[in-house]
Amino acid sequence: MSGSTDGLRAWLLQRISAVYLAGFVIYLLLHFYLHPQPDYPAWRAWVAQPLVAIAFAGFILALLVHGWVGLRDVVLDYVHHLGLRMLTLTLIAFLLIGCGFWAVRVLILVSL
Amino acid sequence: MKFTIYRFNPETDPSPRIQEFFLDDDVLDREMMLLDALLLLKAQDETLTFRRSCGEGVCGSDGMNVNGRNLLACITPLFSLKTPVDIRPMPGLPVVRDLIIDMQQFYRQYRAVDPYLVNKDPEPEVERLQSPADREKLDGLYECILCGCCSTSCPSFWWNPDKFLGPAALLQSWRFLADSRDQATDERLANLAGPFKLFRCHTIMNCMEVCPKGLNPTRAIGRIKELMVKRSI
Repeated sequence: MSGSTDGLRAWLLQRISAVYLAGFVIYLLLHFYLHPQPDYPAWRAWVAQPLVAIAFAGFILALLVHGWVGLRDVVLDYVHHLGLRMLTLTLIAFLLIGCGFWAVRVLILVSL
Repeated sequence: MKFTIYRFNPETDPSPRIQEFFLDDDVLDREMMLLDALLLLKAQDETLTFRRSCGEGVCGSDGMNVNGRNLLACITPLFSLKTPVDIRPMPGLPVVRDLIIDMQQFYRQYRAVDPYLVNKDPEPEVERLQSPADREKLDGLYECILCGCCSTSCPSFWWNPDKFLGPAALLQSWRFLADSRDQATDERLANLAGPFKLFRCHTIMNCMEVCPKGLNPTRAIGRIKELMVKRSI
């Protein structure tokens, strides 16, 4: 089966990340419904808890992975010129990685 | 009854055109299939060109796009169609003439999945036996007549006809993966590797929607993915 994983891996990651994203969003909605955050400091204190911060980090990772597979699918479907395809994929990768670093920075700053 | 039919001869026409046809009500009857009407129209204008053979939904020759939907003319009741009946060749493949498309690409994809039993055991005296339960797994798979209605209605096929194998070929791939007598599972799955051949399918489900034999290539593709996951974890 080696070598057959590239298409399968992306497809599996898309599904696994989707499950996490859906679960986390439901958790967030429930949490905010049951424990409304009165103000920014309260929200900040909540996010700064290690478990919540880790869950958020997982959310960001899942979002980036899911976004990558989805956008990659769009590019593979529609962009047929090889050079253009590589360029588009590279730009998307940089954009997503940039977003990832930015989000991690926010999480670290909030947790300090 | 009014018909608007796509006419194109790539050798002489600069571009395709839509021609209007009419059939008097007195030549029509309730039992007629669309193919019967087309034969009457061909009697009016013998340059109108389409494929047909068995006339009963078995050979898969007369696939065409009618009112925006791929179907077999011979098993489509004429009076089930909204008028004017708009008839075009199936989309996504080059037109040879009028309603006839060049199916080469479609057959290449079919050949690419090795659509035959692979069994390395010595040939038995009589036949390779299969339990009724195992045989049942092939129901809904072996009935495909390769008319091309599914693949030519699949957007993933339109976008990547040279790389994505399309629903018809993938249904046949699963037909042999699901066969208890077939021994080439690993080779078949390895052959479907990569992001294109199988994984361009985004479960759009046009294939199962249009299949004139009521088959479900989307489900077959899902089963292939399932098997891949099982084998790789």
